[in-house]
Amino acid sequence: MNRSPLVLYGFTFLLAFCSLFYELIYAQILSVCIGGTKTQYLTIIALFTFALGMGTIAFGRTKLRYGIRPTFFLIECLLTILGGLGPFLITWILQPGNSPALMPFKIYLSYFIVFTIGFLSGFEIPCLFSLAGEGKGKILGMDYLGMLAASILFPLFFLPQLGTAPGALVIAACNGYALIWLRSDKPNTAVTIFLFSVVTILIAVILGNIGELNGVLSQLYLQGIP
Amino acid sequence: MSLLIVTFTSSFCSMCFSMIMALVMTEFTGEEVYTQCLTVGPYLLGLGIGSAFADNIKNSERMKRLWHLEWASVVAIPIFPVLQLLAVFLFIHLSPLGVNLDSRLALQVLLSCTSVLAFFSGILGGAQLPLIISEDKKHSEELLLAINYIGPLFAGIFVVSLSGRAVPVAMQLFIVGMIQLAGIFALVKTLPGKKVTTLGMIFIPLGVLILATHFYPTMERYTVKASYLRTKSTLSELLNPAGLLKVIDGYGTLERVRTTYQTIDLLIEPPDTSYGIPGNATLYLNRKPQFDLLSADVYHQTMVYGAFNLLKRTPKSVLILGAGDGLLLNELSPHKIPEVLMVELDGGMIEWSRTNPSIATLNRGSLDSLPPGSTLLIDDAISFLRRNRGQKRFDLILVDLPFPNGPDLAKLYSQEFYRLVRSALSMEGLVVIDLPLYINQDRELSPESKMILKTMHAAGFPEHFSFGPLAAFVALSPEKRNLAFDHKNFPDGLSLASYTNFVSPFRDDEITPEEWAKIPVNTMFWPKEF
Repeated sequence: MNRSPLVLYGFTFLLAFCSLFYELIYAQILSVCIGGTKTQYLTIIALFTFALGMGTIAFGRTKLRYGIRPTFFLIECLLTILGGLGPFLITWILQPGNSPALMPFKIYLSYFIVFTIGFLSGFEIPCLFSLAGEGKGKILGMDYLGMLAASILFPLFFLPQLGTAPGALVIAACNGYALIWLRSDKPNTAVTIFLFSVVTILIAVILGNIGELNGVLSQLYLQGIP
Repeated sequence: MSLLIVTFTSSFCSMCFSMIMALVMTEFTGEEVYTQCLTVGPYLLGLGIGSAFADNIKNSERMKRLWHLEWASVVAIPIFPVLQLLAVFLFIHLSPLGVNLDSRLALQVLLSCTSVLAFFSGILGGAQLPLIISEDKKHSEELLLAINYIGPLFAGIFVVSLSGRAVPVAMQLFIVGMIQLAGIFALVKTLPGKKVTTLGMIFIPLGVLILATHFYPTMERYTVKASYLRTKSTLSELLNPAGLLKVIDGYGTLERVRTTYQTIDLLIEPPDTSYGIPGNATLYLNRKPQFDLLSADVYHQTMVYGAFNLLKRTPKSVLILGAGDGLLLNELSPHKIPEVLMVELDGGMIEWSRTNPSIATLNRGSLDSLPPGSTLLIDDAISFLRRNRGQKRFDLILVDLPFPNGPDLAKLYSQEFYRLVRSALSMEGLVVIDLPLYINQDRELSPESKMILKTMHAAGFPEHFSFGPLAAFVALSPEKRNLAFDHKNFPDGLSLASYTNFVSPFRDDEITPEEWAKIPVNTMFWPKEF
């Protein structure tokens, strides 16, 4: 894949932004569903970084079996789907239901989703290292910068303006942009332009239905309470 | 092996310090999400810049620079929380009159200071990993990256568990600092040259660590007390701190208890015998004032007797959400209500209210021996209501929860929360919420108050009735009833201030339908800024 370093750094920034953003959204949803904002934020950030580490270790074996580019593509596909649908999944899982004894398992299951996002994100930096060849410090730098942008924009813009569900879906769509970029060596082809347009329309649809999408989470949370 | 240890201790301690800094500042800003994000964010930025910077270090100097960075980290970073307190102390004293820690200016200034400190700690930590990766020829890049990521996991568990056990910040700082010193010790083994001199250098960070952890509690006590007393001073007075600290000391004593969920402060002010002013004690939860001894009656009598009057009867079942001080329970006890359920999250608060002499006197030991028919449940109010799902319904629900002083607490003022409350209320019942809707006597509604009103209505409460110019409440009914006080039915024997408080001088017809339509509704999944 022949990409200029600048594009690669931008790509690194976007992926890091998306990964941390998902985790911050999950921390917010877990604090709503379970309680304890401070605990949830600290736990999620810790679990996320641990999962990043596990993903990095797992990368060593996977790349030998499947090659870097297919692995990277698959990882981003999974991240896009899981990242966007995660808020709905976690809110649904954490409904109290009729068996309080099941709650600890539901919480662990939610943390497992958080872990999975981190685990998959852990593949990204080694993949990018392999694509870049050199300048690893700068790749790491852009990774951290992406996370910085997520941690600042999440509370200041995305949470108050979009809320949790549309926020996650918009970011998943941005992850989709990365996916399109990754699948093609020739960004100007008609298919690529078409896919970019589809994702852009999808974002517009999400932005047009912010209240309704957050309302879906409310309904899941309230379990039919009028 | 040494470099693996350094990789772990460096990432672990760096993240621990960043989290501790966020916790320290959260106490003063009261804004958990902002503070967490604006500490972790600049910290990550620092990591990024540090990493990029490391690429430019010559190969021959990398081990030396790694040692310098590690040493500088353990010398500088434990001081950062003390500097945060100093920033708060200076802000309290040098900010203009009328500006306090709840202001937006304070949030901006204090979070800026914390961000800068977190950024520097990030730079010191971030430059280390690329240096270790390039110098460690024995271990794979992936393994080093993985250990670097595992460090923060343990940091999160570590800080959460210590904070959960209410371990003081100074102790947390000391433990983390000692772990980082162990990392430095391991690093010395890999360094070329004279190890004795290098080992001797470890005593400097050890001394700094001991000093920082020694001074932190004193600094914290003065800063918290100054924030309550709102003391101000000039720059010249600050340059002579002994006099200023003596003044702060003279304003009574501060009792501070940390529980799993909150920090409880009781500021006990001595009587002024020369002017005949009685002594007082003010209760603060997470630095937010709750009540003082001289006005506790007004608050609790207004809430209970106001609710009974609006209901036009004594309820058969009451649900109390919050109110861990036990004063509401005590106010209800003479009425022999068949069923009272109190749901309070913080068991530590209950225990403290049971044993603290000032509060135990006020609640007349109601938490020690619960009144007949009363049950105390240590649980999260939201979790309780979600599990209840409308199965058990109450005639009266008294909500005494923290104000929405940040996005974190906003969920207690959300549409979902009010719907859950409504689902636990009988159709003839009433909800009374501790909530000052009006910002002044001119009946001006703040934008936040309008949003709360709209949220309550959106949750299925068509009518609200606000009352209490001294201690303010809002009553909600699940159907239109034209709520109003019947002043003939208030009992004798209440305090004079309480009678004064049973008025509703407010009118809500100032909001036009057009404006009402534009007011947003606060929800848990789309929280609005308060």
